[in-house]
Amino acid sequence: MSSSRAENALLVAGKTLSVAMMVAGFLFLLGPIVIVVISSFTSASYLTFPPPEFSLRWYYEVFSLSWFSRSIVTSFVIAIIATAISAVLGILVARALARGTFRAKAIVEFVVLTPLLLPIVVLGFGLFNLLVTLALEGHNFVNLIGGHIMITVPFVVRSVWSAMAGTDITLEEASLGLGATPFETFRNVVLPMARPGIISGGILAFTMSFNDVSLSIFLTGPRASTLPVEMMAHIEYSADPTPAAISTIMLAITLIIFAVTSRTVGLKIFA
Amino acid sequence: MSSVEVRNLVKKYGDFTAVRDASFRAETGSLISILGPSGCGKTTTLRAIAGFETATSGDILLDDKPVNDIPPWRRNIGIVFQSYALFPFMTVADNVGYGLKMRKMDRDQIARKTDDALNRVGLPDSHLKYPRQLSGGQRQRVALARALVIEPAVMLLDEPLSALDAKLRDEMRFELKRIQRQSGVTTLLVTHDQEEAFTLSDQIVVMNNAVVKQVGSPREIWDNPNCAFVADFIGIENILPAERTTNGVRIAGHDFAALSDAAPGSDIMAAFRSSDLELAGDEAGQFAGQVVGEAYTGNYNVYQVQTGLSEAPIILKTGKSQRLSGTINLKLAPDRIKILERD
Repeated sequence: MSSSRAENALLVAGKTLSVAMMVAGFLFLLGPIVIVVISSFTSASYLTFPPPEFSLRWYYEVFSLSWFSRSIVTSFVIAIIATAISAVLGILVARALARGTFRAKAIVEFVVLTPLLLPIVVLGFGLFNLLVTLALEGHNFVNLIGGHIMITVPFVVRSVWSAMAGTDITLEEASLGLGATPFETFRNVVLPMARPGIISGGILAFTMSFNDVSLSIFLTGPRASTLPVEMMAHIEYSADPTPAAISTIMLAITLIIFAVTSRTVGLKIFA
Repeated sequence: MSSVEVRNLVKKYGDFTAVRDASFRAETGSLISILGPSGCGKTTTLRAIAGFETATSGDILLDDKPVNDIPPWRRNIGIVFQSYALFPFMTVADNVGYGLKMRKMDRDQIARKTDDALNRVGLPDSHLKYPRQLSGGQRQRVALARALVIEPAVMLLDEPLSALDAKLRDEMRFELKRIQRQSGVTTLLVTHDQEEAFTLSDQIVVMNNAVVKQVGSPREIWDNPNCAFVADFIGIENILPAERTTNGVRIAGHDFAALSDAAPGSDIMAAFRSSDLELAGDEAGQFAGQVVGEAYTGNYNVYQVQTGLSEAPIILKTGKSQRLSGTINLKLAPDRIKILERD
């Protein structure tokens, strides 16, 4: 009797603790974001929390900044191109890793996934030195796209690979047996089955590219610069609340993209 | 529709031989089963016919023409996988129409043939459902419709009933036979279930350890298994080492009359069913035994009887009203003893 009472008490304590941990986790994760968002609507000319008065002053300010509109467009274009290219590359590599049996498989796996383990600053520094050696450091736009592909491909590979590895191979055989060529089978069966992985890999790649500072800081220049890099530069010179407003805009963009993708190409059919 | 023939098929994976010199033939419109325990090479044989495995040596012939070099997507073979392998992101109608679409048939024709195929398998109203919304039996019917609608030269079924529960399995067995007879498609099915093989097939190929042990009609195999493995696999309970004598067999020193062509003196196995043993009553039987175990199974009683014929007890079956105990006298009619090769 008493031992079962003790067990019950322990169970209640455990549940309470896990709820408390969850609340603490949410506060810890979302707290800074909430503070940034709220303080971006301040009327003061410096960052305070809570704001003395609410206004859209800094949003008007942001849209009048010439570097903002220029770099947000650049960021978008780069993120879209880099995501598209790494999706294609990632799908092909994931397919080879999931179904292929070749000797260099372990090496390919290592090379493709290394960027996940390496600090991006190290990668950026290396890439920058390589570009300088080849006297290519002036091509900011192309370099940014190339660099972003390097860091986003591993994410696409990972998520597409796990989607493909979990797929029953007899589905492909069924398709072949029904008269579909290997190419038709890839298009009609392999790709649709990997779709959840492709979508989540794509979202990861896009946000990664859109938000990156560590790598882009080495590759930007007078010809092209991304929004996060420009924002970093701005923070260095002034303490006004524009970065808070920009952060809020970027957050909104990321959330909208996520919502739109999951609505339109969504994962509904697999639910 | 075509005949299927497997001629001296060998399939090796490195040092491992999955199929060793297998040969058999299924005539146009017939239903043939490959029966054997798991790992006997039956699925490898089926996959070789489908074209998913390349033969190490030997030939696969459809309508007497070798197809070894034809890839799976040009063989025109309908396959029903054990897991059914329905495309989860396609509706039932799209699943069934897939093979026709790959054949570049026009939409109306695909719709018509899909309707027809779904009617044939008894699923007229499921076009717009997804596979996950169907029961196991319905999925099986869709898989059958998808394989049949392309009017295949041959239909291959891999353990078609194993994923279903017992009641549904009996129902689908009749369905499968009806659908096969109606469409007249040459069908090859792979199974480890002897009842399935016996009730469905025109011909049975029994395989074990990569080797074809026996090919014959269900009746031939039931009445005359040719080796101890086949006898055991089709459920003959008593298989004992024996020696051939001039007019019968000698089992552990006891002589029995039996019908056989084997040469006298050769080492053989003698087999008899538990239901073929007769009680000798008070008159002298051929041998005596002691009842050491009993089980009631409803329609009949099963006994373990210790006799002088073997170390392990032999199995005896009686009607449900006949109960045995103590010492009993037994006899065995000459035509009930099956003479088998030793494996």
